[in-house]
Amino acid sequence: MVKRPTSLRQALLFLQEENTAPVAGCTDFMLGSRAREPVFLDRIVELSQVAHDGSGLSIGSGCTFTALQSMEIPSALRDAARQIASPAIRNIATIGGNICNASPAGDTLPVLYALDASVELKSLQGTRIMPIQAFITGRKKTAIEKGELLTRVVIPDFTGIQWFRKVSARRAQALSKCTIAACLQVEEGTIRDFRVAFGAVGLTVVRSIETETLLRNQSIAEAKRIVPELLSAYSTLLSPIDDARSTAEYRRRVCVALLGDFLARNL
Amino acid sequence: MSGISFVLNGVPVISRSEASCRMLDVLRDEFQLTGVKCGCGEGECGACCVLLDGLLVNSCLLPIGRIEGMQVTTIEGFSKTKRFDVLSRAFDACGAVQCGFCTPGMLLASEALLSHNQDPSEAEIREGLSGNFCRCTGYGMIVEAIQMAAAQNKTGEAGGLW
Repeated sequence: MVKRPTSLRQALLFLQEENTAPVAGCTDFMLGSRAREPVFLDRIVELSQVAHDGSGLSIGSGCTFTALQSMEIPSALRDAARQIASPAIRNIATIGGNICNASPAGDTLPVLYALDASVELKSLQGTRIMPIQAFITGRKKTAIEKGELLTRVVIPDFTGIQWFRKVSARRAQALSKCTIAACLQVEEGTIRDFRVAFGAVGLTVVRSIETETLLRNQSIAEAKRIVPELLSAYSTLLSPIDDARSTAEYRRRVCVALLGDFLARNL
Repeated sequence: MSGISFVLNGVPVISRSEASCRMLDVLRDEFQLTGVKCGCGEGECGACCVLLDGLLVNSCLLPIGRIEGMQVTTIEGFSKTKRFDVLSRAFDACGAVQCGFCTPGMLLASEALLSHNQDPSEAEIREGLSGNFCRCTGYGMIVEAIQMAAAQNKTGEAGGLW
C-alpha cells in the first residue's frame, strides 16, 4: 500500500512507523539511498497554504517553487525560487524539502535567514516553532525529530529593500557557487535595519548579526564611510572551501563584491 | 499486491512495481514506453520528461507511488494530438531534430510552455526549455520551431489549439 495521506494527522501516524521518511517533490529523495519507505505529503492540502496574518507570512512547507511564483511572497524569496534548477523540478520540488535537505547550497536558505524566518514543526505530541538558524544545525542536518514534520515557514513582514543574487556556472540547472540575500531599511536618512546572509560558502548559511550592527542606526553618509570596514569584516568572516564548483578565493571575493554592489546601489 | 493505479495516456493502468521504483523505469520496462530516456538519472537533462497532471516533470526523479491516481502523458500519448502535429511539423521545418534523443522531452517541454503561455518571448521559450539539454542542435532551431508553432497558433493557422 502506498503511504500517501490526505491529512496531516495520518501523515504523522505513518511517520511513527520504523524506517519511514517524509517526501514531497521527491527530487532529493530519488538521488539518495531510498532505503526508507516514503510517506508522500503532496496530497495534504493544509501544507500548501499561503496566508498573511497581519504581522507575517505563513508559507506551507508543501508549496512547490512553481506555485510560489503566483503568490504574494517576499521578492527576494521569489527571486531565489525562480532560479532553482529547472521548470520540471520547480513544478514538484517544495520549499519544505529545500529547508529539510539543508544543503549548504540551498537557494531559499540565505533569504530565509535574512528575513528572520521561523519554521513550525508538528508531531502527534505537539507543535514547536524555532528560528531557521536554530533549525539547520549543520551540513544536511536539521533539528527535526523522528515523527515530526516541518509544516510551515513563517516570515515576519519586512518593508525595506530586499535583494537576492545567485552566482552559478549556468542560468539554470546549476548548483550555486555562492548566494547572497540582503535587506536594507532606511528611514529619514538613517539605517533602521541591515541584514545579509551568504549561502554556499559554509556548512550552513553565514549570517553575522554582530557585523550587521556596524551599519545599524548610522546615517547614510556615515554608513558609506563604514562600507570598506564592513566589507573587510565579511572578507575575514567568510571561510568558504575549494570544491568541484568553485574556489574559496572566488567565493569570498564575489560575496564581498556583491555586498559592496548592493550597498553602493542602495545607500 | 494491490498495485498502484494511475492514468497513462488517457488509459487507467495499474503498476505492480514498488512505491519507490523510479517512474522512468516503470514506464520503460513495465509499460514498454521507451519515449522517456535516461540521459542523466538526476533530473538535469530532461530526456525523461513527462506531463504529470499537465505539469512538466522529470520521470527519473519520481517514485511511482508519488503519482498514484494522477494523469501521466508521455510522448507516445502526446503524439496522438493535434498540438503534436503542429509542433512536430514546426520542428521538422526548422531542423530542430538531429539525433532525436532530446526530442521527446523537448516536445513535452514545448507543450508545457505553450499551455501556460501562448505567446512566449524568446527568453521565455529558453527558460521553458532550460531543463532540457540538446547536444546536437545548439537550441536555436528548437527555439525557432516553438516560435513558428506559437505564430501559427496566433494567426489561427493552427486552429487556436493553445
